[in-house]
Amino acid sequence: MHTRINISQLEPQSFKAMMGLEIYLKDTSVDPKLRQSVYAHKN
Amino acid sequence: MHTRINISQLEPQSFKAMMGLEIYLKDTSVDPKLRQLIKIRASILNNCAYCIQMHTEESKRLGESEQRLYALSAWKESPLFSEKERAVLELTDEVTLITLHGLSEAVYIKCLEQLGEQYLAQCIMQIVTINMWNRIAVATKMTHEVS
Repeated sequence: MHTRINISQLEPQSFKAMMGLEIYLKDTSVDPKLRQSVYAHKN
Repeated sequence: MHTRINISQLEPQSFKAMMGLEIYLKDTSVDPKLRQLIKIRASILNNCAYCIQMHTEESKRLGESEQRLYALSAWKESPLFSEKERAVLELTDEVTLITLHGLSEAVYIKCLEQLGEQYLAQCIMQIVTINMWNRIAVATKMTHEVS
């Protein structure tokens, strides 16, 4: 739920570019579980 | 000069994806000089000397005054920035230092009023992007050339 602006709707091209990076990173050799643990500890 | 790993060489596809985002952002409605102020301010907060060098040079090429560039590290106390620029710089500070208290409601509302939804969204994406570059440059100790 968005209570502020929704950047994915306002800036879909930016999101698409970021998703391109994310999709590429999924194919790298970093273990998927380890990748998720990095995300879980961010900020 | 690289004293650590060179991510652009080791992970060119990642760099290409990030450059795609950067190139898109150049075509948004955020004023080029203001975009450089965002990049320099975030780079100051992240201690990224490489990016400070790159974007102060780019900023000067765009006609930015040296006075305003010097004042950027203490922008809150400087009369050299417009209300709109101050709103964007405050946004830059809070989004860059997001772990301190997130983006406060006061700054969010101020930016929404000053910039509108679309412009605010574009500014946030620009801040996010320079923070990615800063982290790469600082983590790998990228060093700018000395002229």
